[in-house]
Amino acid sequence: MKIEPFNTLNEMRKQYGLKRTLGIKIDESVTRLTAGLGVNDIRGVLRGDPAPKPNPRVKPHTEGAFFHIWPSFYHEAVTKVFPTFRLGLISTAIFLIEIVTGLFLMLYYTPSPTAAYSDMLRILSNVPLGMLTRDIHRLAAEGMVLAVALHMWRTFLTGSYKKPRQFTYFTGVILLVFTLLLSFTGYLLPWDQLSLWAVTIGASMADAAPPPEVGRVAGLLLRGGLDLGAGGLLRFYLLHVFVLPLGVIVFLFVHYYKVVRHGHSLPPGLDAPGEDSARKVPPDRRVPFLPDIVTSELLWFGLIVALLVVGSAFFYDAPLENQADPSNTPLHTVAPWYFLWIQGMLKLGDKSLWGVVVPTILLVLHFALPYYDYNPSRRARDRRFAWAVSFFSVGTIVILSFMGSSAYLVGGAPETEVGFEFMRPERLGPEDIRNVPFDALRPGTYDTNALDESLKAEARPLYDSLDELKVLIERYQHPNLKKKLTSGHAIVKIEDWLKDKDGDVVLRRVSLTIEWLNEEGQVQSFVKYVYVHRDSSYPLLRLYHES
Amino acid sequence: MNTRIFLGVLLFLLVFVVVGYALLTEGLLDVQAQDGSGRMQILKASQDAKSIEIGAAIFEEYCYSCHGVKGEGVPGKGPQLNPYLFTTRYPELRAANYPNSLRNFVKIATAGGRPDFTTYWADKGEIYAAPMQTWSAFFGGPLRDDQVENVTNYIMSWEATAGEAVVIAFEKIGNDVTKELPAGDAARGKRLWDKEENYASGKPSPCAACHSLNPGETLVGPSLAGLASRAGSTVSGQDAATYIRHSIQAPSDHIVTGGNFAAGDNSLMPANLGNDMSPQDLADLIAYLLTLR
Repeated sequence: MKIEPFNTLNEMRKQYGLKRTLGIKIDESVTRLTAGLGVNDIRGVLRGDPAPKPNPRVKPHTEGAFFHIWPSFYHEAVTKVFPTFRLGLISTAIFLIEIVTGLFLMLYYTPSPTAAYSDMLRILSNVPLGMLTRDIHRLAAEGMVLAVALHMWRTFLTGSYKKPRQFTYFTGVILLVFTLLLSFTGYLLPWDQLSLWAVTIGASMADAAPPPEVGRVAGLLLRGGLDLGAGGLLRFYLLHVFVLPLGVIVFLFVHYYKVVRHGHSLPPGLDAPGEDSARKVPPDRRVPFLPDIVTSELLWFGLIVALLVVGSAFFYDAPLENQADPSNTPLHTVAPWYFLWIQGMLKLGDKSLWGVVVPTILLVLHFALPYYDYNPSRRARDRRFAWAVSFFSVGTIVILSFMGSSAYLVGGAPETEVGFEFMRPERLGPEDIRNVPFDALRPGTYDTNALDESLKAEARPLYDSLDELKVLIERYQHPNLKKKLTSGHAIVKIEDWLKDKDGDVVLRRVSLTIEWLNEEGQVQSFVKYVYVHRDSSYPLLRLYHES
Repeated sequence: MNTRIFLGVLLFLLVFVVVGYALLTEGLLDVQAQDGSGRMQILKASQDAKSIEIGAAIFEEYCYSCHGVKGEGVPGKGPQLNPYLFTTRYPELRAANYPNSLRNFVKIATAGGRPDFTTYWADKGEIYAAPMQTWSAFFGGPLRDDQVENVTNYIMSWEATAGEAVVIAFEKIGNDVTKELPAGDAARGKRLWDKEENYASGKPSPCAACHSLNPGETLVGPSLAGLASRAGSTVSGQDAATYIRHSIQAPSDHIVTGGNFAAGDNSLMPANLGNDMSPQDLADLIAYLLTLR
């Protein structure tokens, strides 16, 4: 036996000729790379030829490193949209998209309070496709939370967590927790007012962990200090780009491999209660992974990419507010939407109980679900109680989320609320004066009690805005309200403030004075002001589409 | 299978077209860079504009009381920035080989403040109650770097119109405490105090920067709450109106005790406040102060 490959190659050339030798060598290399599929096999797969016998297309599953986490065939019943809705696949696809877009964003991002926000601005205004990449990353992150949560709910409804898939479910809950944490840690990174305060609320849960000594240490560990600052940002960044993605990848492999071990859980109606025939798929109902499932999954993947790209380019802009200001808490700060239900529970009472203890108990119940649910049947009609609990839980979460929003039980002083609606420090609300086009902000002093009809003809958007302000104040004059703006009215003063070289006004100052009578009948007043620049183009969304 | 491949290619093309469209409208083309029509250019302009908006609000919160509402300066508190800084001060500095840009000069002064009372208006007799403090959090002040940046952007935006300084001609009352004053209008005096109306010089009243109207609150000078009740009995031989007039036009004549209101024999209150007032302004202001019982 010869050991020197050059000789062997040379001998082969002498025997078969150069062309054929190259062909053989290429085929060998391809077979090695695909763990079993030669050039002709791949051609057959792509052409849609029936699999030869023995079937080389199962080799990548048995011998390859990557394909072995997929089964070599699926049961026909699980290849349709129902009952899986493809939610697991969608979650994985989004995770891959997040990795790719996240890597690009990392190129331009520094995890430091002094640099992070200006880096964000730079990504938006100085990196080609930076805004699109960020929008996709953000949209996909929201989508991933949704897809993973729905995936879990679907698993519950079809009883797919039951024997023998208890541990698959267990890893699935781990992945759900990691997904939520990934989204939450990423929320902080733009370092704007929205992210700082939403995450501050979330991170303060750590402080509430009982007993107080533990809570204190947990809070310090998470934030790297008493408040979220340089230390906290770096910790969240490392969790976001390294620790959590690594965890997801590890558990994703376990989660997938469990499917190979146990087969896909079939639609509940196919098996008798307590039985599981997923591993005994009749040959005529098998759908081979290569090529059918692969092409189908690639198509789904393409669909997700297309949806995200089109959605981000035309319909969605990731929010970016002003730079985080630790000394200035905005009115109506809320947690990210997937944690709103916890914020809602906080309004029920004790922070430790509702913010930490109850969510922890719920999480443990989730993890342990397959181990205490002894009902062997996966059919809906045998699981009425489980279905009822499930819909009750989802309903409760929706209600709690509403309670967590600023619409529920958080009313500041009425004048502050009106001031907030009329001049939000961050993103615009429907009643915001900055919705009025710059040209329509005519200098002058306007009293909501004496709105001039001539303004309607000359500057309609301004008139409408002032009219909305009037309605807003009237809303706080309802006799049943505890705090109200009795005979309140507002005076809005608009001044030209700055001109550019050509003499055009570029900056205007708008001041709002609300006057009302207190219980003793004395006049009270509240003043707020804002500067509006011609080019600042609120809101951002409109700007992007006009470009 | 064929359907899948067909749909897959369609989706790929769709993504390709959308990303291509986005790329073409990003602003990478020369045309877009020139007329500012690309998305990135528009967004940059919007970010700069927003920075000026925020800077203007910061100026109103921190800088306004010493440098005036639009940077026109406040006698005794802080020098004029607009337009003096652009028309005179910086050109002088450049002539003396100051190496930094105007923007950096503004930013350095904003961030680091001034070490002493040195004033660039010494020749005009301007002195200030205190040197400018450091504003950057880096040097122990209240503003973060981005806020210093924003306020610098706002100040720099005056440069565009700095050539149009308007000098208003008016009869100033100055330090003349003997001149006959016209009848005062307390309502207009209140508007002056509230800065709803300006002095004849076009500058707003700086009074409220140092004097509170809340009883017992000392900002820099003493609170003026109840002034009308005590003014007539503070200095013998002066009635309330005369006492108030002397306090404004010649503050060092009598310095209120019971607080840190003097530097040596001189009052901390600027002696040149009358330079911005017409006799009518002074009369109205006194009439208003006489209502503070």
